[in-house]
Amino acid sequence: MRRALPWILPLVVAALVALAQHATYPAFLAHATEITRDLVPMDTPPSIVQVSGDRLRVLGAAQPSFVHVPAIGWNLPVLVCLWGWIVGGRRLALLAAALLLVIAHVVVADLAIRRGLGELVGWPHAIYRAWYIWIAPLLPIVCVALGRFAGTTPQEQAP
Amino acid sequence: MSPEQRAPPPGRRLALRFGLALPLLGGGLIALFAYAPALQSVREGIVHGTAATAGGLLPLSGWDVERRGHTLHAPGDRAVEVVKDCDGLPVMLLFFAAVLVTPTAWRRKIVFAGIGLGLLFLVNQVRLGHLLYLSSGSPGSFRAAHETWWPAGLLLSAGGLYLLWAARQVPRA
Repeated sequence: MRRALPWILPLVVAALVALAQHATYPAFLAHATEITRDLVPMDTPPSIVQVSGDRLRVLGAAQPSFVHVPAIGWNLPVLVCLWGWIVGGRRLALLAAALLLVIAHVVVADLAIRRGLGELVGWPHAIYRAWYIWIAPLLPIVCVALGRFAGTTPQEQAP
Repeated sequence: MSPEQRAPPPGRRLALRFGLALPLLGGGLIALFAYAPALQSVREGIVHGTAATAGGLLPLSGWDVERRGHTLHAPGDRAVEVVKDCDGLPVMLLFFAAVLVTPTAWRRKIVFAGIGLGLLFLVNQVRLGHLLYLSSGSPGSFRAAHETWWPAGLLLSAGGLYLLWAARQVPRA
């Protein structure tokens, strides 16, 4: 049991993060994207962004559009789990990596809202597409690899 | 001192080197296979090999799959065409680059790259089988699997495989 704990514990923590994310993340992203819309104003901003279960309901265009929040934020629990398995410590670095992911989620949620209102063209649209295919899965892997490699010391590397 | 005994550089330098070398080598390899005219015949061969292997492997599961050219057909009007983006090559090249820039002995890198690329090729075969199965269902679920979940899944498989190996190559602090 004691040997299995380092494998089970990160899974449990990641599951808790996923549950907390499910409950709070849509509301957090709805508020956070208000700030991004203030920073980069839209031509026709949404009249309202509502939380509807695990989605954001964007009103303003002829038809409401939806932003599926777990499809954006799934890599945060993955980061927590992989970090626990592979790195094991360096909690401050984990916090920094998690913060990087949360900022990325806010940006992607903002892009998704703009897309729903037909205001996503050019390179922001390319970034939005690349998020789902490349960036979202790569970010936790690269963060964990960097955390693992940075967590070696010259003394311990001696053969 | 043999290459296996050579100590990797201190942690932060190692992380920095990995963080710089991976995008350069991985991006370079992906760009080469995407744009270099001399490599297009190699790419065509990989696409053909992917389709031919799927045509040979999928029937082993008891499913009546037939390959015509680069298109796989299955009962129930299911069909998928294996094109350039279906070979999973960019993910495999990124995986290969990550293995190459890991500070460990070359023999280990080459052996693991071979095993890992073989496993990723098999994961891609599972992907093709799943997409073939979904091809007669709703276009929305096929599109989500084809454009979002499987690309991410393939990349996560490559990343997970790499991390498990790399963690054993570099001592933990």
